[in-house]
Order: sequence, then C-alpha cells, then structure tokens
Amino acid sequence: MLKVRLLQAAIPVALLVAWQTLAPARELEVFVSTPEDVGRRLVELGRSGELWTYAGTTVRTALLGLAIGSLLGITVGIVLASSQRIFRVVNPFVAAAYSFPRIILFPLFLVWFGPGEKAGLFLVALITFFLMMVNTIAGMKSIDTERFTTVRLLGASRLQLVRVVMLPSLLPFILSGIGMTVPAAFLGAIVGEILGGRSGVGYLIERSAGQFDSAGMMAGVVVVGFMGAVATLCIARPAEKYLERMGAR
Amino acid sequence: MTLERVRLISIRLAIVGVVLGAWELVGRFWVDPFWTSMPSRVAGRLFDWSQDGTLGPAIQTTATEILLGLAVGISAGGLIAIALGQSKMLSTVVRPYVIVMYAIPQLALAPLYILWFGLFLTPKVVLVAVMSAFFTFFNVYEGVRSTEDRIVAEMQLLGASRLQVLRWVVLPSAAVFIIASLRQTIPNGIQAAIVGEFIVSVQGLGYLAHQASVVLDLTGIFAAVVVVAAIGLILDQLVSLGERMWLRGRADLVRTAALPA
Repeated sequence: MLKVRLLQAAIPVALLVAWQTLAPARELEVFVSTPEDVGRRLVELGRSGELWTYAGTTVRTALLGLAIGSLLGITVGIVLASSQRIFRVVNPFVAAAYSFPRIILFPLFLVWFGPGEKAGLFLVALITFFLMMVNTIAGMKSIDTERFTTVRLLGASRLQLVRVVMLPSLLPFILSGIGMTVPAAFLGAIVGEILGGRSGVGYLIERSAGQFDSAGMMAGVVVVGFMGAVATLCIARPAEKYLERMGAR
Repeated sequence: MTLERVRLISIRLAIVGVVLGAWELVGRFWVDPFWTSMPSRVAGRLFDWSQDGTLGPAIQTTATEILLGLAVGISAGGLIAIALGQSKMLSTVVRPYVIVMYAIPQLALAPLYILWFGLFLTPKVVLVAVMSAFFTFFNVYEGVRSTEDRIVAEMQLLGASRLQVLRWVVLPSAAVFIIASLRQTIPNGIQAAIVGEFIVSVQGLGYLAHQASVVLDLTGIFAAVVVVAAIGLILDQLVSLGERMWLRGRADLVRTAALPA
C-alpha cells in the first residue's frame, strides 16, 4: 500500500519536473508554458481579482443552469412517464433527443440572446434538462406496478403513494442523474464561454489561446480542473455515496 | 403491422406535423422569421446548399473529423484500458488520476489543441479522439475490471498462458464494452468535432452554423443543425444494428455507460 501511495505521489512530481525542464529545452514554451509561469500567472490573476470574477461567472452559470434544467427535466420526465399512453407515443422522440449532439444548438442561443452569460445559461439548462429527463423516465419505469397497486388497494392516499412507492424508486435515478449532470453543467458553461463569453474561465482560456498566451491558457485549464474536481467531490460523489448506502440497505 | 402500431405511428407523425406546422405559422403570421426562421426556408436553404456545392464538402469535412477521431480514440482508449488492466498494481496507482482527468471537461481543452495543431483538420481529429478515448477507456476499464476476475482465475488454474487469457477473455470482453459504450462515444465525438469547428475552421457543418450565427442567419443555423442531427441519427442506427448483432443477451450493458453531455 505504501508503495502504491509513493508511486501515486511520484506521478505528478515527475510530470511537473518534465514539463518545467523539457518545455524550455525544446523551445515549446510558446505552446505549453512552464509550471513556474503558470503558477505566477495564477497568483497574478488572483491578486487582480480577475480569477474570482471569472470563476464566479462559470460557477454561477453552471449551477443556475443546472438547477433550471434539472427541475424542468424531472418535471417533464414525471409527466411523460406517468401515463403509459403518452410514454408509448413520445418514446422514440426521447431516444432521438438522447443521441442528439446538443451543443450544436448553441449558435441559436448566440443569435437569440447575444454573446454573454445568458446564452451559456440556456446551453447548460438544455444539456442538464435532457440528462435529467432521461434519468427520471428510467426511474419512473422502475416503479414496481404490483407494489403500486397493492399499496393503493390497501387504501393509501395519493400523497402516501408518492411517498411510499414513487419517491423511493425515483430517488436513486435522480441522484445518479445529479452525478452525471454536474460535470455536464460545467462542461456546458465553459463551452458557452469559449464560444461566446464575455467572462468566465472558458473565456480566459479562449482569449489567452487566441493571443498565444500559453501561461494564461494553462492557468485557465488548471482552474477548470480544480473546479471539476471540487464539483465532483462536493456534489456528484456524495450523491453516489448516498446511493450506495441506500443500495446496501 | 398491427392496427395498434399504425395508430401509434400516425400519432407520432401527427405530432411532428403539428410542431413543424406551428413553427411555419409562427414565422409567417406572428414573429418576424428573422428570429425563428421557418421549416420551408430551412428546406429551401438545404436545397440551395446541395445545388451550389456547399453541402457536400461540409459533410465530408465534418464526417472525416468524426470518423478519423473516433477510430483513433476508440482504439487508443481500448488499448490503454486493456494495458492498465494487465497489472493490478498499475491500475491501482493511476486510478485517482484517471478520475481527476475525467472531472476535467474535455471540450474546455479545445482552444489548446487549436493553438498546438493549427486551424484545419488535425485539432478537430485530436479533440474527437481524446473525447472518445476517454469514454471508451472508462467503460472498458470499469467493465473489464468488474467481470473478469473469476474467469481469469479459472483459466489460469486450467493452465492458460497470459496470452491465451488475453486472447480468449480480455479482448472479447473489452470488445463488448466498446460496442456498449459507442452509444455515448459517438454523440460526444460529433459534439467535439462541432465545437472544434465553432472555434476556428474554414469548412464543415459547425463552420456553416457558426458563420450563419455571425450574420444572424437563423435559417442557416437550422439547416446545419438538421444535417448534424441526421448524421447523429444515422450513426445511432448503425450502433443499434451493431448492438443487435453482437450484444444479444447483454441488454444489461446497453445504455448503462456514461451519458453524453
């Protein structure tokens, strides 16, 4: 186990050393910068406050879009799956929407809302809406109809049916949906900023790349990685952990 | 075809008809079609594009990016996953880094590839390849890890060599997981090619959509979207066919892999 931990620690160190020494030696600094320059740039961006503004924009777009998209997705999913008749009609549409590359719709939002946060917000909401809808439908389909009928025959009220039968079946799917939508929301926010942002980490990456400022570009990538890791640790992982515990019960 | 099925399909067609009709009417009588365009205009634009030689090269460019990228990415992702799976030690060591890498939205790196690989075909192929390598890697890695232990142990007891285990257990099961993950890999690959073209390009469907958005031409955007959606549907149908041929009896694997964004 100690050996594993040591090797694990050695990997990033080796990569950083290789990056720091090889990049100048091969004259690749224009393209990849060096860890030293990237670190310095991060400190500069942090001091000037730009970093916090950009990160704030990205997090706000991702989380707000996620909230809007998820709520709509869960609602529409429940409605579509609640009646066997409706579901049989719309099923192929849902399947087609599932495999549709959604980001292609972004130019539409650019025209409708202009460059900026709003277009990004719509992209995030759109992406998370579909993921959540598909997951909710799968959850609704997992409800045991026999159990549902039995509980209803025992005289349960509508509210009790929802609480005792529907929610327990639905919750695992919504939680695993959150595990998928959180990374997707950040992806949507950052892509929106790259393609038509005025602020945000994606904007930082795109602007720096356009100016051949590799230190700024790499600094943006570091921030993106950090945000992705934090989002996974704080939202997606707890949801999965909770899911595992429920499964174990 | 039963009567029930005919009814179902006609309801679906009616829905499509009503949506398209409403869209057309909105454009004609209610909102300036500058904001919404209209199905008739989109169809007209697609016809124009096919006549003036815009459409063919655009489809060819984007399809080349997608197919080349998928080929490179899927083989690379599958090979790395199999290689890591060969050593328990190695796969334990790199596991946390794989998870961290997965947390980084890969499309955020698109500007990097454009800076590194120029403006034309290469950066988009790289983007599609990296994207699909990730999806394939994850699915194969998790899949191979979760199924094999017992069978491998039994084969070794029966005296199988390392190569035989690779040939008869690891490769077939990896192939199954690659096919099962295609349904997620392909839309993501298409998405990657399009985003790459949005950022910088001189040709392709993403380029057409982006150019149209610059001049606020909704009709052009919708026309490009329709073509991309058609490519997505065609590839999806091919995957369905592959699943029916090679994944019979493994329905549990289909649609369980990571979802597209």
